Amino acid sequence: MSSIHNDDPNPNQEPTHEADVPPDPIFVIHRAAMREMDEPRDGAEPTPVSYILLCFAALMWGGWYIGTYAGTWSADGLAERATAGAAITAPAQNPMELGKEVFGVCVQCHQENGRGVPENYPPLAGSEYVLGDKRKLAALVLRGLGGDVTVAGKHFNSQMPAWDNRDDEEIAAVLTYIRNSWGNKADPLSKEFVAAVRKETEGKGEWRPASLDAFAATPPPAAPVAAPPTAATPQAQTK
Amino acid sequence: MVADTKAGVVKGAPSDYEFRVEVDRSSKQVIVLYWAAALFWLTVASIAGIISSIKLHNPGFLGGIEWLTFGRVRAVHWDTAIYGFGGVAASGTLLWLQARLCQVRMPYTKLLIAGGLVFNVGILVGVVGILMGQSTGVETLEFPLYAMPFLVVPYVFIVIANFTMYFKKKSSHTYVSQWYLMAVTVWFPVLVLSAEACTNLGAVDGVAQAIANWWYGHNVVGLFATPTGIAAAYYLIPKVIGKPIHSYHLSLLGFWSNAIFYNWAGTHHLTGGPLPAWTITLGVVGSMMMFIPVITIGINHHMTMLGSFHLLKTSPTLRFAVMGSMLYTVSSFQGALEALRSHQEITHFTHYTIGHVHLGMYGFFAPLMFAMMYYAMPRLMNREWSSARLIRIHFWCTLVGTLLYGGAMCYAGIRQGMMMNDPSIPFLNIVQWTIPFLMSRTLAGLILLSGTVAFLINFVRIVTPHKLTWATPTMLDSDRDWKQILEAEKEAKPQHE
Repeated sequence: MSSIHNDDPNPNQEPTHEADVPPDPIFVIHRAAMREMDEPRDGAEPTPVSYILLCFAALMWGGWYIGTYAGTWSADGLAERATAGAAITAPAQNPMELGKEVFGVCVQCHQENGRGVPENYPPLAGSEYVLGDKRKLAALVLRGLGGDVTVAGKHFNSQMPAWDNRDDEEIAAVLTYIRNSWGNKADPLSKEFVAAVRKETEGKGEWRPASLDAFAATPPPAAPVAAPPTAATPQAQTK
Repeated sequence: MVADTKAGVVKGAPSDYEFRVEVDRSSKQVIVLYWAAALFWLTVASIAGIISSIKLHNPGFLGGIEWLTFGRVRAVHWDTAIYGFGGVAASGTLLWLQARLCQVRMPYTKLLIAGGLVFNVGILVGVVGILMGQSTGVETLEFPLYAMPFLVVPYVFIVIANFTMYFKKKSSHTYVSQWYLMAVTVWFPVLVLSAEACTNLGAVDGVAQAIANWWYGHNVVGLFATPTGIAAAYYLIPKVIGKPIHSYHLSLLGFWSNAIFYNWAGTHHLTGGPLPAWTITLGVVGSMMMFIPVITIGINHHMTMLGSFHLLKTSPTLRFAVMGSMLYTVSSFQGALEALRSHQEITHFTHYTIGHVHLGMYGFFAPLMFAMMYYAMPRLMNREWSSARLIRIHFWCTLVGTLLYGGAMCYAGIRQGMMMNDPSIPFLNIVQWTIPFLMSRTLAGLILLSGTVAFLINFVRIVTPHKLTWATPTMLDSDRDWKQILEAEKEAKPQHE
């Protein structure tokens, strides 16, 4: 009966019918349990030192990775390589793209193509308000305008609301956008410039055409807020 | 034990067979119930998987049936696979191994049988709930909350039975398989309850909920299915070939490194999401550190097998166990590397991940459960497997189906990811490019299902009483078949009745 010890194959042993099985009833009932190998045991081979060193190398890699990519260890540190001092700021956006986005609000009256609605809303394409004095334009958009105006040779008499709830960057972007779309071409506005106009017109209500012209005629304050002579600011001061 | 008086009766029988007979006899009903249920759910999971797979290349397939929309069938596929097949098969394995290794009779058998029935009713309730559209929408925890008590209470019975056996154990030594089994019964309840609390019960909100979800989703595979699979491999390989496990020290290192690192890995599923960077970084490191347990366990199993590979030709148990063990190494290597940010830039949100999951679940976990069944069922039922051909079909379907699934999905995933990173390629072109691979996934699913059906036939036969008994195990190269049983029954009639 040595061949019944385990599941090791015995090629000579053909399947046997019940009649061939030894008659011992205990054997019949417990065949499978008896031919088994012993319950498994543990061997005691030592772990190679080189393998333990490899494991340590893996752990050290883990330490390096955590040290390099754990960001600031803070709940809002989303960038894995952010250094401790650097504040996370959104990357500067192209003013034309941001402007187009903001223009989504203006579209309702001035239309997608910037041509306005005849008799009701003035066009922006070719408009002397848009292409003219930047200071006047920013003041108009920030504080709103009501009354009889002439744009591109046509009369309009309606109401433009004040957009002072928009921040300087958005106003600068949308003005840059309308000054450079639909065939318009004029220099861009910086958000510092818009901030200066916002400060200058603080507390002023909605413009009438006359008061807006009067405002445009007065020179800007001698010391604007944004003084540094960058590429944008000197132009802003000349007008 | 009574071994002393009876051992002498049969010449050449090992002296410790008495306790095995006692253990097997006491655990028979429980284990057979659990495994039969597991195979039923495996079939359901395969069918649900194939339906969802077909829907991906033929979106109109069964499109008019509300209960079988993709979102529901896919959830049913995964939940029946992990709880129905995985949970029930692993629980049966856990109970049988623990009884054998502790050398004690199965305690509370009536409670465990009742628990097994309730557990299966719970899964059925959950599945119907999902099909009716009441899924919670939290991946891996899709079962509606009213199904949870059916699943939690029976598991408490299993935990109690497990600890009872351990504290009454007659063996002096605690074998490595037992470490894993004990650990599973501690880890799994903690995992389920805290994950349910943090997601469906709303203990936390927003990003923390997503972290809890994926912490659980990853750990249910890693701290529930994996340890049970490893415990089975640690038991079966030395048991069948009759040699001790290579090294106790490596077993120790493998167990503790698995226990320490796996728990951290879950957040790598959320790379690129709005999580604090350090949580993902810890997930990546936890995953990469899994190289330590995986290589350790791989060495331990491989060195034990060394010199016994010729047995793979004939032993069904060993063949499935070694397949599972080898694909454990492969799929875990893949999984560890997959966590790296540079790797995820390509493979995240592609078919690659799906390929990886199936290599792990159907290449590693399922074959080890099959190996357990192939080994234990003849002992529990006192009957041999009736068809060697069906075992061969089962094995080759499992191997070919898994490799086809994993190979097709991983290759398609890499290419898909590279194309999606190229903004000049329209998204729909990429979808169209993947269709042949999606079809080969359906084919792989059908192959796997055929294997399951072959196994089911064999399983039904071994639990059905029949006249013919063989003295030897059914080996893979045998020509043993069901027909012989029918013929023998005809012949045997006049003599025995």
